Amino acid sequence: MTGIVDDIVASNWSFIYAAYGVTWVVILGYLVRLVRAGARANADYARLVPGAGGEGAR
Amino acid sequence: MPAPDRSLDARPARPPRTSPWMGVAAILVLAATQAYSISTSPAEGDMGHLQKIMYVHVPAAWMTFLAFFVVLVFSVKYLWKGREDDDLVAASAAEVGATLNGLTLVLGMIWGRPAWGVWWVWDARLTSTLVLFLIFAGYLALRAFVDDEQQRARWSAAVGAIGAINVPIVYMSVKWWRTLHQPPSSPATLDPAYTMGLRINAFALLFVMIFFIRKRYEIARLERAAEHAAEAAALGAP
Amino acid sequence: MKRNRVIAALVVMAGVFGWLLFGGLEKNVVFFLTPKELLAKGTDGVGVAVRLGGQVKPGSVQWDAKTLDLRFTVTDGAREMAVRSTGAPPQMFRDGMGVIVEGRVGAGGVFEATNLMVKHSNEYRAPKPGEEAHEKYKTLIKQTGP
Repeated sequence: MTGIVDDIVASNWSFIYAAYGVTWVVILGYLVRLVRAGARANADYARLVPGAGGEGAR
Repeated sequence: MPAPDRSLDARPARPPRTSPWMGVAAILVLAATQAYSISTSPAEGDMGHLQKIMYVHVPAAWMTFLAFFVVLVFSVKYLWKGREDDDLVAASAAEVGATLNGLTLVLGMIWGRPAWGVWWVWDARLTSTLVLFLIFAGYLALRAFVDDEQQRARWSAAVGAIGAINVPIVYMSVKWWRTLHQPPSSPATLDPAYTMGLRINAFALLFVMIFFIRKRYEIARLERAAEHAAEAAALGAP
Repeated sequence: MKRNRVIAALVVMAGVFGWLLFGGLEKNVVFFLTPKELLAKGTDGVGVAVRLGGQVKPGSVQWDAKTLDLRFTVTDGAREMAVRSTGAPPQMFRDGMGVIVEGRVGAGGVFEATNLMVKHSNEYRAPKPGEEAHEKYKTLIKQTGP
């Protein structure tokens, strides 16, 4: 019975690539989200908290 | 319930920052463990190379459980102590957990189509995992919806703590009920070649998850500190 | 804008929870019946939509690649049931494999499947030379319900 549809087995790799691809889209996507949220929060903090990092100070 | 800790107001020093290099390192380690396990693990007897989806699907599921366990601990801690920081840790873990939960579902569908022949079925495991996702999507929606900080923290701590109860239900669903999804594998049911790949990928994703939660928490604290400063400035202005 | 999206999300979630509470999950907690359980229903089990699960009885598979007609027998060790399906099965389908079919029992007692799913075990083994591969599926199907 093995090999009823051999071409499906050949296409298994597309599912494997899809799984790893989705994983990296989610992980890198979340990373980008964090970087952007971090940059925004930094800017707000520097603007609103005087002396703690405003005007280019770190 | 004790009054919320407003210590951030009294401490305008910049909240600490985790080095971004920790994230870079975690992500590189994950890439390395994936490359290692894809290239070394042999084709499985029944499903051939499809078994390799295990190295992303199973760690994603485990880390989902772990992230929601963090939500449970810090939600309970918030309800007990009322510390703002605990609310922010719970929220950060919930966001990362919900992301991993969604990833687990999508990866399961991608695996299910070639292995089982269907993208999705409403068996107890898949359904309870979707319910878990919806609960924490609701948790995040609740946080976006409620403006009052204390009210938001209290409500979301309740939702987070109760929602996390679903985690053991998801885990046990394949043992309690008859499902299409198979019961959990163990070292006894896995060839050593697969066990090793699964473990290193789980540890790598654990590091990524820890980095994500820490970073999310630090950003949340920074946002909160800025908000408090803005409030204080508005109150202090003539 | 943000609120509308939140409200839409909450409505979807409420809908799913409602569906789960009113019948959906209850019906699916026992995702499939074994041949023994389905046969025990007698005529009540005939003609109604149901899921049947078990092992593909070794040696029972007949596949006609021209007409896409697939016939096999599902067994739970105690009782067995003939199944007729159309179309190519999932790649892991073969003798001794766990399987779940959706459909209904026809008048002749043959299960007419509209959907065929392969149920994998929690075992993952690299094939060894001369290994008898399908022994493990004997313990695949839980005999007891919830």
